[in-house]
This record gives sequence, structure tokens and C-alpha cells, in this order.
Amino acid sequence: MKSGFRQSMSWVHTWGGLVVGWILFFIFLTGTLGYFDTEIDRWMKPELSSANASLTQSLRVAEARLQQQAPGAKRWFISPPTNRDNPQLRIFWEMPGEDGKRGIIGNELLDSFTGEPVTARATGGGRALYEMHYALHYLPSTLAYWIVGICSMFMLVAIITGVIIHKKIFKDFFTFRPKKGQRSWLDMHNLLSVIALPFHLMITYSGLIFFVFTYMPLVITSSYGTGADAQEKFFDELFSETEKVQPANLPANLSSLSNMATMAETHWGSNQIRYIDISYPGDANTRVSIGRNLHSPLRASPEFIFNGATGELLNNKAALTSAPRAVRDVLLGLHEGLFADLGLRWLYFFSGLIGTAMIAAGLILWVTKRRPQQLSKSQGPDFGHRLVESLNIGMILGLPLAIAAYFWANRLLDVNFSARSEWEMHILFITLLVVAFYPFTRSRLVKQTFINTIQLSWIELLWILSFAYGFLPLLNTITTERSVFKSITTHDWLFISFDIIFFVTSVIAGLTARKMQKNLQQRVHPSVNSSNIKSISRQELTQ
Amino acid sequence: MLIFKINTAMKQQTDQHYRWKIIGRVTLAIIGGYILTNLTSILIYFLLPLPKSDAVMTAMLLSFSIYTGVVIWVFSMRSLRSVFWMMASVIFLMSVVILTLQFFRRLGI
Repeated sequence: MKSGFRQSMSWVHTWGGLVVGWILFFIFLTGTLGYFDTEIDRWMKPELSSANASLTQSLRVAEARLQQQAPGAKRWFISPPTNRDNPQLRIFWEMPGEDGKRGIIGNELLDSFTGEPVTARATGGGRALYEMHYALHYLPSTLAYWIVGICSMFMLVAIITGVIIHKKIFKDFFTFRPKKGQRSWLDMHNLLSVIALPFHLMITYSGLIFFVFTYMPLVITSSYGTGADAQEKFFDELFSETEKVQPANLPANLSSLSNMATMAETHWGSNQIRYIDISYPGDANTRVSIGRNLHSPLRASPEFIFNGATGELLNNKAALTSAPRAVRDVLLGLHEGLFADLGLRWLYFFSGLIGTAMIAAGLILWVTKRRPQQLSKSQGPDFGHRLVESLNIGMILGLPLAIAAYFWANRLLDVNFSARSEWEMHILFITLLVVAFYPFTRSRLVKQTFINTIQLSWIELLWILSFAYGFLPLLNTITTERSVFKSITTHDWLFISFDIIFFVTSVIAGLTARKMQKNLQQRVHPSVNSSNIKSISRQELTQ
Repeated sequence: MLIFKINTAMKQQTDQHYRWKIIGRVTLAIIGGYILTNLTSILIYFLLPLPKSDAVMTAMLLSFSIYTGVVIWVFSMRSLRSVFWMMASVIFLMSVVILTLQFFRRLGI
């Protein structure tokens, strides 16, 4: 297209990256937080304790509760509190549906000692943040999947073209030229890209594979035909569903779940049961499948299948079937990282943050590169340039602020407010919207040159960000029973970690704001040395 | 003055021209690329000697790499016209091959 291959690829990288950059930033940051979704859940429900009863006790109370809530169900599902994803005993049930429709479903979190449903404040928690990264919250799911898919495809192309235009990928990795404006942003963008390149590639490609059946349906159509039946047939063949058991319609007592669980535990070791899936409880043909915790990215877990009426072991199902399916499972498993222990989970988290920062650096690089030329225009910067500058602020600062607002809302909204969890989310998006319009509103209220409006918006919002996170530990101390001091004395590492992360975020935001402030004042008054910078009033910046 | 005016007019014309070329190329890359990706995936499914569901899954796993390749190809070619004609003929050829394969497979069953 352009004069050379590399120039063409550079064009694709620059513009392709720009148009989806803000949505990608959103997807990356919320997805990264998703690696700690259960931990955020626990922080957002501070009244819950983390103590749990034994497996036998958990199963006993879960079964009693299911018997009471959903007798004659089609399916019961128990997730005992044996792993990080499931800090609380959880039950799920599905009633038989009529005329092919799905029956009523329900689920509850239970106290594993008493079997009483736990009462915690209503909140979307970390789960809502995590779901946002592919469902975009307000949009209908199919539309959201397509938007996320198109953005991911742009990301994939941006990664590949980025590698192509990066001639000296190894040498540049060790190049960092600080305090050189545009050069520094380029080096930063390169460094962040290369340092976690395998992660970026893996997460983007596997993200696409998640919804491949939505994005590439024609392959199924051409092989299995059109319609839901054809798709169903494909899934049945691919995932080799074992023959579905039909109910015998003869009542029978459910054999002891804890005996079956013990049998599974003798094979796998203790605390290894991820779920217990019971189809047609109370029927003579009931089946009990017990699945194991995940220890590798291979997403499927091995299962023991029992005859639920007699307690007899029927089948020891391996996790794996065919190679293509295994590739898919591994890709999805790597993306989700459910198997990751704490160390690996932090690595995932930091890789995600690096990806997020890389996107931000790319977006900032785009504007810094064009700023000198745009500012020299007699009629001021183009509309497009202004838009990009504002959107950069709106997303790069707006989203972290919006998430802080979400946390504040969690602590400040009345616990008895009926639409509580919805409003936590509304507050997140309202904050995002307000920040996106901040530079525009500011330019209407205070007449200043364009570049000053933008830079001061950055600085002011960074200070707000710093305070929003800096005061979260204090807010938590005031509004909950789990204060900073109590967390430290009781070795409550979850809450301590949250306080530390909030504090670090606050400090980083504050330091950045201070640095930008110094730079700006140096630019306006090059002669002034840094010691009396504070004395420069805002009016002087207006000139 | 006149020369200046002519120059600006010409510049605007080339700007317009450039804009349309970009739109054309992007459309070819995104939509043409999507069609080409699907056809290639379907062809892979037909040609792989694997059980049906595995062949479909393999084709799908590869599809995004194919798409990326096509997009890069569209942008790397110098002439937009040749991109268009090459893409159109490949799409046509692939469709013919797929329809033929489908026809024979149906006869075979």
C-alpha cells in the first residue's frame, strides 16, 4: 500500500490499534481484575467469614438444603468450598422444564456449618467486573461478543504487524530513552509489548477461540447443516457427551454422597473435589458425577460417575478426548487461568497489567507524535486530534476511577437498598462517562489553550485518582468490621493485600500527577527552577 | 494565485482519491478477508482426514490465523486493483471447489 512492506504494516498497526484501543484497554483492565474475581468478591462482601466446615459436613447440609428447596429437580449441583474459585459452599438446581423449555433454576450460597443461606450485601463483586470484559455489561450478549471479537481480531493483527515493524526486536528491548517525549513513549510501548509478547498473543488468540462458534458459524453450517439441531449434533460429537440418562420415574433414595466423595478423595487426595453433579435426584436412575479440581490448563476435569441410587462406581471418565478439542481446552484454560496457584495468578495479573499499560502507552504515543504538528496549526488542532486526546483521558484515567467509584459505592450504598448491586454498576459507568467529558466540560468552564486543558485534565484527574484509591483503606476501616489494624493483627492477608494495592495505586497516581505538573510548569516558565513552582498560579498557565 | 488554486484543487482531489483507496482496502481486508477465511476453513474441513467434528474444530482453531494472514496480505500489496481481482478469483475458485466437494459427498452418502 505504502512505499514499502514495513511502512504499510506500520500504517495498519497505528490506525488499527487506534480505532479499537479504548475498548481494548477496557477489556484488558477488567479482564485482568478477573484473575482476582473471587478475591474481589470477598473484599466486596466483608461480612462473610472465610472459615469453612469439613467436606462431609458441607455435603450433608447442601443435600438437606437442596432436598428442601428443590425436591424432584432435574439436576442438583454442589460446589464444596475446596478451592479458590469457591470460597463458599454453593448449590445450584434446575427443575424439569415443560414442552422442551428450560425449567426454573436457582442457586444459593450456604454456610457450610449450618446450611443456612448466607446473607451478605448484594453486590456484583469481582465477578461482574470479570464478566464485563466480554459481555460489556449493558449490551445484549451476542452484540457484545461481536464487538469484543472484532476488537480482539484488530488486536491480533496489531500484535503481528507490531512484531513485523519491529526490526530490532531484541536490541530495542534494552533501549529506553527517558525524558525524551515521543521517543520515551515509543520505547515504553515497545518494552511493554515485548516483555509479555507470549501472554499478549495467547490471551488474544484464546479470547477469540472462546466465541469461535459465534464468529465462524459457516464452518459448522457447511458440515452439519443449518439450524439449532445441526449445532447441537456438532457439540454432542465434539464434546462426546455420554448418553443422556433418562429418569426411570421410580423413586429411590439418594445413596450417601459423602461415601462417593470419600471414594473420589482416596484417588485424588483430600480437598480435590471441584463439584458434585447429580442428575434426577430421588429417581432410580440418578447419576452422580464428581469432578476434580483443575491442576493444568486443560480445562476439562476428570470425573467419577456413580449410580446415585446404589452408590456403585460406573465410570472413571478421563478429561481428554480428541486432539483438536484438547487444543481448544488448553487455550481456554490458559486464558482463564483457573488452574493457577497464587504465584502464577500474580504473574497472570501482572501480565494483564502490562498488556493494559502497553495499550495505554500506544494510545498516548499516537497523540504525542502528532501534537507538535497539530499545535502549530493556526486554527488549532483538528477535531479528530481533540477527540483522541479526550478519549485517552476518558478511558485511561476514567476506567481506573470508575472502578474506584465501584468500590466506594460498595461501601457507601445502603445495605438494604433493593437495587444495590445494579447501582454499584451504574455508578461505575456514570463515573466513566463523566471523566470522558471532563476535558470538554473543563474547556467550556475555563478558557485555556487546548494543550493546557488536556494536560491540566490529566493532572487533576490523576490527583482525584490518587485520593480515590488512597482513602479506600480508610473508608474500609470506617465502614466495616475489618479495619486495617484488625487485618494486620489477625493476618487477614486478603484484606491486607487490598489495602496495599490501593495504597500503591494511589502513590503511583500521585507521583505521576506531580511529575506532569512539574513538566507543565517547566514548559510554561522554562526559567523557573523547581523550588518555587508552587507559587505559580493557575492564571499564569492560562496565558 | 491561479496556480495556487489549481494546486489546492488537485491536492483535494488526491486527498479524496486517497481516502477512497483506504476505504476500499479496509473493506477488502475486513469483509473480503472474512469471506476468504470462512471458505479456507471450510476447505480445510473437507480436506482433513479426521472425524467430522475434529476436522471442523481444527478448521475453526486455524481460522483466526488465516484471517490475520489475509489482512496482512491485503495491506502489503501495492495495487488495490490486483488485490481485488486476486481475492475475487480465489473466492470464486474456492466456492466452486467447495460446492463440488459437497456435491460428491452427498452422492457418496
